[in-house]
Amino acid sequence: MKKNRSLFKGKIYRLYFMAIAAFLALVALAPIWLTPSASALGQITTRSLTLSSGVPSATNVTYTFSFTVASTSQVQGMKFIACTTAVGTYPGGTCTAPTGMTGAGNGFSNAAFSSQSGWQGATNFAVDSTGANDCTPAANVLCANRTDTTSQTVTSRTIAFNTIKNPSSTNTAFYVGMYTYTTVNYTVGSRVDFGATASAVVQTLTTNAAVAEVLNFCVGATTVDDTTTNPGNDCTAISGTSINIGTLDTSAVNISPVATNGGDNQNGLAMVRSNAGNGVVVAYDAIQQSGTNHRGTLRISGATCNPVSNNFTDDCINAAGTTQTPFTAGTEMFGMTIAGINSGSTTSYTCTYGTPPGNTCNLKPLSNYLGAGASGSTEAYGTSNGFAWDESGSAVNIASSASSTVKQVDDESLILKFAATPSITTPFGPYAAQTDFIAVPTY
Amino acid sequence: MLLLGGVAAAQYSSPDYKATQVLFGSGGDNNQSSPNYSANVSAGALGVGGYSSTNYQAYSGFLTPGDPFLELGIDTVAVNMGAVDPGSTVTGSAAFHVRAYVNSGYSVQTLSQPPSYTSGSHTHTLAAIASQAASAAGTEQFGINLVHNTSPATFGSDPSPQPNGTYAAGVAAAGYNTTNQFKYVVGDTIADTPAGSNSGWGLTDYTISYIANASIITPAGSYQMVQDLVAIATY
Repeated sequence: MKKNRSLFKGKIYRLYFMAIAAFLALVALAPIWLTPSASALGQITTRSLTLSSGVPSATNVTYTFSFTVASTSQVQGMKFIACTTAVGTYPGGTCTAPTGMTGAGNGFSNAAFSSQSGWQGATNFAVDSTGANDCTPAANVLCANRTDTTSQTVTSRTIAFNTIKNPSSTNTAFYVGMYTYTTVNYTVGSRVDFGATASAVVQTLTTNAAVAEVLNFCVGATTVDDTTTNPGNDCTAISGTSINIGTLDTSAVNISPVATNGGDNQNGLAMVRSNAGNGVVVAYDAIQQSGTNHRGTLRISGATCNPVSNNFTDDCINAAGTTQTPFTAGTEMFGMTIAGINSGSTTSYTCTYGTPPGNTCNLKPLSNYLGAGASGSTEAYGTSNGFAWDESGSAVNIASSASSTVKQVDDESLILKFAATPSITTPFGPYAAQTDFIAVPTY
Repeated sequence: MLLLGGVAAAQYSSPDYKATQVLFGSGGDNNQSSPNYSANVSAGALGVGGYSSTNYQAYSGFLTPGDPFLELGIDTVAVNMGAVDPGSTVTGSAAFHVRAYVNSGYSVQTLSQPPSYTSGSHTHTLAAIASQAASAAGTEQFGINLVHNTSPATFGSDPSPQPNGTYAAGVAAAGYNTTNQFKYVVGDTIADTPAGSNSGWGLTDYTISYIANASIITPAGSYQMVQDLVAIATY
């Protein structure tokens, strides 16, 4: 009994494993039974679909199919059918068009041939909007053909179509089956190869970052009198609230820096750092001092000046006005100009001013405040163009980066030169002008 | 034992035959193979498994559907990296996943331009890191990678095959696979599967790690990138 039980048990086990083997064999062959029609055609291999955009409903998308044909017969027709499942693209499959690939204007409706490579035969395919037999154009069906009977090789090739509108459902895959035909009219009997590809449209991923607004603007006094010497690495190194152009004499025009007759040998300086994408403008306005008339020019504080312009006998030195003019020694006048743009503390980029002539810096002196040369090509360091001064107290723009290709500014400095000359009749006394400087960035 | 085990996984092998990761219940046996034969099978579902030899290859069913299958999902809608100034770096991360069966591998490309902003007539695009480099605060940069990072912050994750590497083999692509090194080139492949095998099976979770730096002259503003990811599966 024991032996019989053992034999019986052994048979049971053998049957058991035979059943397993049979089951596995059935399972192994299942896919072949399930997709019989596909196997009737040659299998297009190494096939892929590349989209130029995976954004749902994106338009003007290019679909590039890359694949290797299985047959060497000529290919004069191709059908591309997009479905929600791979099986749907198979011969005899039931295709449901992906959402957004139905109706006029969607999917392949406006597709156009874009390019091809690797094909035998020089004739390009073209989108066939009429179709025939096995290929009826639709928003999810693209027909393309060519007249070229060249036999193909089993090698890789591509064909691309553009102006396609993507399916619309986010995070959804879709499948495109490719068929080749030996004929230009897609007869079923001329169908040669088939292969399905897959792609997906996904919801967009939006990445945000912000760059904070930066404006460092300072005004001070400096002994720097060129465009290259570092006046201080940044605004924290700029100081001084006044400059002194010394005692005026009719024999000369005192132009800062003045090192004699009480001058402090300093220029004015306005340094700007700004990351405003639309540029930064530097302006000044003449502070209106105490006194009467001409309160914004170089004057004796508290004095009553003659309201008439070009008076050479009052306690106000005539302002040069809004139009730049060279000064003549002995003809009373006060003004300011930008001798040049100093980039000695600029680290983010390099630029030059005046040597060679021209201005490659981002700040540009504006009309009436360009010290020497001509704007746009021959800017030079100096004051030969003369000076201007608006005594009204209105803001006057004197420099800007708005016209530059790069409008952000890294510690560029305006070298400001102040100039004055008295007339013989200009009264003796302490003269001063006070100025506000303003930087206006536009982000 | 094979059918009645009822457990999630088992492995079998002999010189001529090997089976690994046998699944039952809803059932499956993945990767049965010998030098001339290999198979992925499962039980409890119609048309299951995959079979291949030099001259034969077929796939079906529950574990690996019998048809080409691709799933690319963006699991993060938006990434807000915050405000950056020249002295700091901002970071962010976003997740996506790829599931693919019956393919010869896949790749994921990023097609979007780096973050940009427009104000009036002025447009600026953050400078993308063309070659792998570390984050450098004060230098305008935008870059990504797909791995875990420790600098300039601890963020990001390595690609994660689900449930494990037996089923999925997606990796960060060259250029985007080095910790603390970032890069961004439009059109680059940022994730893929190793060449030479049917390694695209299964699901892999990816995390994109972003960094952004601003220089002194990086225009101020709100920068945005609508990232366009495309998966390309080869069958």
